[in-house]
Amino acid sequence: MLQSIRNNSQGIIAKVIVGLIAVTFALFGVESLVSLTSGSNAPATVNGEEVSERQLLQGVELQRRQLLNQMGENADPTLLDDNVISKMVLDGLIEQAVLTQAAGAQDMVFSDRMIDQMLVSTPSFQVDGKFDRVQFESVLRNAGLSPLMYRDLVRKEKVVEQLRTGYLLSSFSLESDLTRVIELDQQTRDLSYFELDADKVQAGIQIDEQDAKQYFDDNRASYKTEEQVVVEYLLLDKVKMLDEVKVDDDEIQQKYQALVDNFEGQEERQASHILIEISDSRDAGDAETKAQDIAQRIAAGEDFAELAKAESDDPGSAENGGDLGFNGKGLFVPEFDEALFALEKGQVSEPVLTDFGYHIIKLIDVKATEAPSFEQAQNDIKFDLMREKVEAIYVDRMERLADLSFSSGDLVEPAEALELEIVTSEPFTRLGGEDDITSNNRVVAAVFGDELLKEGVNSTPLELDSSRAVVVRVKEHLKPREQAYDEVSEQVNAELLKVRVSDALDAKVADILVALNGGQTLASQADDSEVKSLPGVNRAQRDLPAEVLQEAFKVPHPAEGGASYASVVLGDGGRAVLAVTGVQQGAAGEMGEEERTTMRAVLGSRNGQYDYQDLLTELNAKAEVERL
Amino acid sequence: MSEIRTDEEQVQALSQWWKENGKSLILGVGLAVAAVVGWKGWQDRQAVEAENASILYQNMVEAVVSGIGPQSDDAQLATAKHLASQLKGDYESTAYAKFAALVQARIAVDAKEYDQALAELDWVLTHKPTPEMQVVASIRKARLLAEKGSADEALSLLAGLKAGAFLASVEELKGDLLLAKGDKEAARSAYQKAQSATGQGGSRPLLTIKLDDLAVKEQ
Repeated sequence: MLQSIRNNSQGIIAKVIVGLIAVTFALFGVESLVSLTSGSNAPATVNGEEVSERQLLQGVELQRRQLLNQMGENADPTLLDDNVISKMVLDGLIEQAVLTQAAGAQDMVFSDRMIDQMLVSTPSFQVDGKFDRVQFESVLRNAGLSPLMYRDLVRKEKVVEQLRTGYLLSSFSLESDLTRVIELDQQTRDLSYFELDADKVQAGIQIDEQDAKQYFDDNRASYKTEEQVVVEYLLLDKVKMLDEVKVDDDEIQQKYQALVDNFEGQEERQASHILIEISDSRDAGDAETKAQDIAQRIAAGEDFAELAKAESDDPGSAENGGDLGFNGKGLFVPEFDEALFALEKGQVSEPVLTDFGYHIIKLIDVKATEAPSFEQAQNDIKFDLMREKVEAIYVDRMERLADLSFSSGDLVEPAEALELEIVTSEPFTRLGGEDDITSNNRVVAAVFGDELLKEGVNSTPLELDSSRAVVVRVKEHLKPREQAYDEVSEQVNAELLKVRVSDALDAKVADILVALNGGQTLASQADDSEVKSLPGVNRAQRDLPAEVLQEAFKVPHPAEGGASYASVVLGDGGRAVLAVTGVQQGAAGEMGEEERTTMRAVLGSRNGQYDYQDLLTELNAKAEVERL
Repeated sequence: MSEIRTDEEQVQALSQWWKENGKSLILGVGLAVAAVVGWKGWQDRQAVEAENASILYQNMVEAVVSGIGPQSDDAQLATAKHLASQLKGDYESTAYAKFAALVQARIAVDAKEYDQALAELDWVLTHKPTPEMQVVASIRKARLLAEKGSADEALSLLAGLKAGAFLASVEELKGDLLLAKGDKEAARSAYQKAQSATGQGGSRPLLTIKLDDLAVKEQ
């Protein structure tokens, strides 16, 4: 067969085909063939460009981490609904794609060179004011990004930012805009109003039972009881297990000894050194000779620090007389370490050869990190030991609880086996109950899930926090049901009364407005309510009900010498009738130059935001977005 | 192929073919190579040009940000203006040049040099802006025209726009212009159009205030 392949491949056609394949590979790489075969399962495409599944997954993961960080220790992963996050992230990616494409179509770029420059000057990637590759990569790793992904993100973000600043920074506001805004914003209105009290009207209204029953019949559905459950649960609590564990003195003593041993290894030594480098201009022999020479000068009494300043090839330490500070064992290269830890305090070593060159080392000082005394340490040790033991018991019981509650139909057996008490809760709704167990999100979600509600099984152990877990089962499911009139008559009466009062007030207000528009005065319609007159009310005023203030600025400007009338519903169910008799425009001239400049900047940037928002809407509308 | 039997014959046939087609083949290959090299070169040049424009733009933005506002810094503003002119001069066809012109218009407005600002906006409009930028630049131009007293010219400029998602801004501006001319009725209807177009992009509190201020008595 091979022979026949060989023969056939000699033909011109075969050569042409092979040639074409070779050219394709050479020009476009293997991807050109791979991409032909792999089907697309991109979650979305924007104008034909794919938002890849990988991008989406990465985005979701990033978002998830951020949310967890924000929530801190008590984060509840069940709140992080993947579908919600995923949709949010996908929307963001689509918007980003729309914008980057728009920028790209205008040949806007943020090149590799520019990214490099930006990375180098980013403070969080720097160590001692200089870009540090290791630092850079570790910051990215913490964020779950590879350098390549990060660069890609930066490229996209920066181009979009350029587009955005182009619109935001160039927007402006004019003197006339400012004048108009001040006229409106600082406008004042002359207002009078009186309130109609709901209570007073209410006093005159009687509800008879017939009407109440009728009202109940008409609104039966709104008097259904809410769906509730009664649950029983077993609580596994680490705090309660503390009583069960004992720690004896031997254990504490042992642990303390281990602690002390550990401390002895942690002695820190302050060293100074003089480095004689082996370099292009100085070979190993010369370096050794020079090092020996210096060692002799020190032995002859010359000052180590001065010599370090003058002769050392380590620029970092030479300035400080060769000082390297306090360091533990294992920080330096082995040869250096060995020599340093063999020295007595104040002693100077012979020249030591390392990869850097020849070192002359002086031990300046020794700092033994001292172990705490037994008295100091024993409480902490005891607590740690108890916690370890409790943890072991907790894990063990958790497993047994999981097994037992899975295999039995109710909680009796697990309760007996683990000597736990079955607790029965008060009824609670889907919004959760009062105590910290029935109000826990996981518990509520589990209890109202189909499995527990319909099949009556035990839940798996649900962790409430790091030290407690529960197994719950639904004891009673109180379905929503219609109630009889007698059960809710009080509520029905109260609600009907409210409706009646409201109707009565509306009728009264309508009459009053007719009278006012017919030429009557506000005072004549107020009965015994007080008419309050507030000349020159501004938009931010606080000494009147907010509803009245808002309405006062919505009524038409009154005719010269006339008034505009209106009514509003107040927060307490009452009504207010108001009259506006004058409107004064805000005076732009009274504003200082500085305040004007600031205001204009604010208005200008708001215009820019509208422009950018509209641009976004427009681009989104024009883009062809397909979601999987 | 089958009629060519010996090596000699094959060589002869080949050299014959070469005599007939050799020159045109070399020419063809040469042309292709030249085209590819030229195309690559042109692309590289475009890329370098775009990069340079981008860097200039980035620098200009920095200068503008520290130059404008209440603590206006004249030296920074001068730098910004210089960079903007350079963008417009050396990289005329790029988007960055158009953004630079827009920004210069803003700086001119801040200094109340409205004619200068109008000239910058016209520069943008005559340099093939994207449809969106055209709308934005036109709206800004209309505002400046009105500020200079040519409200009618401004209104006719707005009337010719394909507003798209910018409808709310366009109609609100129409309302402002009509109100300034004293036509409250038309102004209110423009504001109402703007209000109903606002829906998606969030509310515009100032627009609501303007509309409320033109309220009329319900019949």
